[in-house]
Amino acid sequence: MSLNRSFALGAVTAFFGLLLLTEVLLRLTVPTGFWYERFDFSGDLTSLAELRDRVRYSAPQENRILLLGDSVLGASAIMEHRIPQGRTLTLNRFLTMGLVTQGWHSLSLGSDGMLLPDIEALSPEIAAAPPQKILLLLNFRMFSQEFNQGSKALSRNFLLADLPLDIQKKLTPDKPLSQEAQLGDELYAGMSDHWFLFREAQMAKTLWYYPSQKDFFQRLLERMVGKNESASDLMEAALKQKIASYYQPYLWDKNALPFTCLKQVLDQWAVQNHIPITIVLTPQNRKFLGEYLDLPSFQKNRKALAAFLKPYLFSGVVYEDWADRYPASSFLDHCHLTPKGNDQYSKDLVGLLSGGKQ
Amino acid sequence: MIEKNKIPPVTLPLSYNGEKRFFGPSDDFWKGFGIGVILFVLFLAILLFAGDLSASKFIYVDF
Repeated sequence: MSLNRSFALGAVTAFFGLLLLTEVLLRLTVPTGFWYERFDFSGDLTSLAELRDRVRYSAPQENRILLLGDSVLGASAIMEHRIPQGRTLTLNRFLTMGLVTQGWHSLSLGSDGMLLPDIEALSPEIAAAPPQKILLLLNFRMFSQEFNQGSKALSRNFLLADLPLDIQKKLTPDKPLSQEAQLGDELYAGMSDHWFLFREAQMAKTLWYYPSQKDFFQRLLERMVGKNESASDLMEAALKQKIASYYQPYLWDKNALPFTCLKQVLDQWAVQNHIPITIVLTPQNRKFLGEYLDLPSFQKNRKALAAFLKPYLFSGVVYEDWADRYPASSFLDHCHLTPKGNDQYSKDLVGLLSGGKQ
Repeated sequence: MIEKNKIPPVTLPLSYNGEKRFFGPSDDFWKGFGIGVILFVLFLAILLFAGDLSASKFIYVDF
């Protein structure tokens, strides 16, 4: 094979021709919702550009109900527990099916690790196509001391620019980002904004590398050599260590960032835009938590949240505390439910959203 | 015996001035085109499979 001018011209034509063709194809199909109808991208958010696309194109804009929350909506825990067809057994999936029968089109922006500053940052993006109803699932993690200030209080850095300046200041990392990291973030954001193939490839990656790349390869390995049964005890112990701080003695601070953001979300959507918001404190598994749960704080914090939300009950906000709603057998861990539990939870939520007394 | 109407075989030149003809079936252009397609598939694979999720630091179990 001789590497002459014709050869190079052929290679360049094929490479850039296919690149252009893919880009044109994606630019034509993404706005029609083609990819969102066929693939479930919920459970993660990879860029601001993806968020904008999903708000505009992933669900019909009439009778739209927006689902907000963290990993309780998605498949991460189900997949970690190796339940087959995990993505079809999520709360989001059951809710979507239940809501369709009531004439609602759901749009889930719930993502793993989502916190209240993230949810506030979604507001300017949601404004492009406002929903007719909002369901907000609050979790204990969202109010924990670990995530109530500093850079950890925002789960996705690309949402920072959508927050008011006073909130942005509170989220500034103690140690400024290195030049390389800054450049990397800017490059990623720029490519996601202007290059559809890159943006969609990042989204597509969540279909297999979920909840993480490491977990994907572990699943592959388990298929070949079988599951290490003793690892499940280790996993549970590690999870307990990780979540212990969410449930240990700490009284939620109403002046802290989570409450400030929750207030701003409610002021904007319920008070100013008169959009009905249903808020549910998501079920918790006390049995799993065992000694890690500080019961007095658990009860006081729930009361404090109810008291905080009370003034909004006159502005179309419905609040339900379902922390004790389901037995331990409905859970996979501290807050993620089994497929059967998700099914029941979704039915109860659909009933609540339809105006039924729960 | 010489057959009537038979055209003697003619060997077409494979190249002009040392470079192969542009659109011939065994042309270097098409070889390059094939390599370009393979490079694009590799590039797509890198986009789809290299690196973790952007939000991987927030996964709920990671140890």
